[in-house]
Amino acid sequence: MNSIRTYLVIMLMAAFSLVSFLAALNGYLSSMAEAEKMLDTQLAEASDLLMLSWSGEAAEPSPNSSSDILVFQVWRDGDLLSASPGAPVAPIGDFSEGYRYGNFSGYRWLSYTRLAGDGTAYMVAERADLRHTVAEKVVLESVVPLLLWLPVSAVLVWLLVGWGLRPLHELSRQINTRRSDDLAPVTLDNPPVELLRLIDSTNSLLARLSAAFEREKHFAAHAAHELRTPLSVLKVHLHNLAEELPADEPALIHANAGVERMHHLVEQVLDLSRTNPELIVANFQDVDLHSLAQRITAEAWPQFAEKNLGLSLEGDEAILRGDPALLETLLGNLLDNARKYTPAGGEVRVVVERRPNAVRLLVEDSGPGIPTGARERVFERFYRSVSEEGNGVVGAGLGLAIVRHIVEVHKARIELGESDLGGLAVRIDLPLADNRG
Amino acid sequence: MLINSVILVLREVLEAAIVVSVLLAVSRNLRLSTRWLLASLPVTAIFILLFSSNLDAITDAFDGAGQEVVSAGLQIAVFAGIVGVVFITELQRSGHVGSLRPLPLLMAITVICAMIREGSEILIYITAFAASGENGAAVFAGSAIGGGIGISLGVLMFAALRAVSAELSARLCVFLMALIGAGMVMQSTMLLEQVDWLQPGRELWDSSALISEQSISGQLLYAVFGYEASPGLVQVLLYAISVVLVALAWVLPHHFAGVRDAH
Repeated sequence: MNSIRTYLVIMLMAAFSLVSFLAALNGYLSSMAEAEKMLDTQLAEASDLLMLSWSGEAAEPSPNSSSDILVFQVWRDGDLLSASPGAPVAPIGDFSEGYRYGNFSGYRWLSYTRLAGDGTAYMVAERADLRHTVAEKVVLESVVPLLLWLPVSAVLVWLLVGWGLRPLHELSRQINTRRSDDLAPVTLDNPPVELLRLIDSTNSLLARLSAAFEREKHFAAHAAHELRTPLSVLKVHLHNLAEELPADEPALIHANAGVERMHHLVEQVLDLSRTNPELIVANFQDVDLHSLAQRITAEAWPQFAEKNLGLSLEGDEAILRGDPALLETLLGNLLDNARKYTPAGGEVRVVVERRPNAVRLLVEDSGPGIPTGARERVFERFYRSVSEEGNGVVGAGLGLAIVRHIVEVHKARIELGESDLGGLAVRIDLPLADNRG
Repeated sequence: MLINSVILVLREVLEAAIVVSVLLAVSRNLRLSTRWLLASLPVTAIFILLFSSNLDAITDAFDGAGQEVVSAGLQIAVFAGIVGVVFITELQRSGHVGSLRPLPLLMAITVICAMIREGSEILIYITAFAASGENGAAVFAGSAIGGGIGISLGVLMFAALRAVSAELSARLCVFLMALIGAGMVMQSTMLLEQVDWLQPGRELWDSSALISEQSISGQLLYAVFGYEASPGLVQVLLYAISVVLVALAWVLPHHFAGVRDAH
């Protein structure tokens, strides 16, 4: 049984039916015994009545006795003195006082014989099958309603079990409907004792999870922040060294590259730790993505020009709800990637396009692109392709991971594809309505 | 009349209910779907209708011994099914992966065979009284009470088998299947003796003073374990062989697994 409710209803109904039916059976047997006793007494009283009322006149019994319900005979010294119309000519009972079963007239009868002081035997007989039927009919009047009401009790049990399981449904609903980042304790009004331990355990687990997330977030932020100072000092010392050493000194070139990589990594780890969803969504504001893209592309232009790359921006004003700093990081990372991987003389294009329900941001380049099979993996943290490492591109493998994180925070959709320029096309649809509020 | 109906229907329903609940518990213990039971119900209903509507032809077959022979055949089929279920279950438990595939079909056939005879007897009994118009209320009430008690006991037995640990449940299921299976064989030998297809041999004991076959407890014991107050040598031998066969079906897969692991 996969449903607790179904299981409970079936088990309860089975137990209830078993007990009810056994009780009904017991009641039936007791009632039948009582009814038998009562009918026996009635038969004996009928013979007493016969004795008191018989006038002493002889009456001829009918040779063709019919199947009557009650018959009687009066015997003295072996002679049949009187009999009811339906009685046979042979004795219907014993010539000693008491009950006796016998067969005559095609039926089974129970007879009672009362002996008078003068030896007269007053015999009264009743059809056994009918007296059972009558008694059974009376008892069945109390048993049958029990059977007929059983479906009603099943419906009641179904409803009551469902009502009893409501706190469980409520708990399940609370856990199922909460946001993935909502680690607040579960609360139930007046919870049953059976659920108290479950609620306590769940809340304790949520508290531990929340603390672990906080620790992780603060650790990354603090570690990255603390690394900035020694890195700046290192950079100053390297700058000083560069004054004294020849510019093509290999050790200096490697040291500079290493420090640059470390600086980039620290900045990106800080970016990641800053993108805490619940804090960001609360600070969403109207952002014109086109003007933001204008500023970022203008700032990035010198680096593109240095590598002899073309950089263009297309589109018009497109307002959406979002976090300007994060959107700036997102576009900055995409442009940084495009610049790094597009060979000199290539072209990078940024398009901001207003669509019915979203603003599309497209960043495409004429670089080598990303093979289809690797497109999902580039979003993983610290993932770097073999060609990246071989080409000496500076990076920590966090750029696109941060992009995806920002996309998720904005409930947007990202897709990597092939560009008309021959390289990679990154399409991001930032929803308009969903970001509101 | 009510009490007669209760005993007759309870005797038939209890036997089938125990077979169904034990097989259902085996199925749940092995995490198998129980759809086989749902699928077997309409098939059983069709067979019950066919059996009861062709009862005269069945009775006249085998020189008038048709009903007994067919009933005995169905009971032996149930026993064979039980042996098969025990063997396949233990084969899986001994580590033979993938051996469970035929189990749902085997369980469905076993349950269908167990319910056809019982169901048709109940149907014939009730329809005969319904046609005569006599004691209708008592027969219906008695049948409902008997059926209700039998089904309730089956449901509660299933719950009990599921309530204990998986290991204990598996052992209890095998124990119950051995008793029910041997009981089926015992009942079939009695039916075959009635039509002189089998000689009972000399009577080994008479326990009618302890539990009469005609008493309520005697009738229920007959339904569940094939109780016979004065069994003959052949009956006792067949009963013992049936228990041994179920025991072998339980033990042999583990023995094979031990030999395989040793190699």
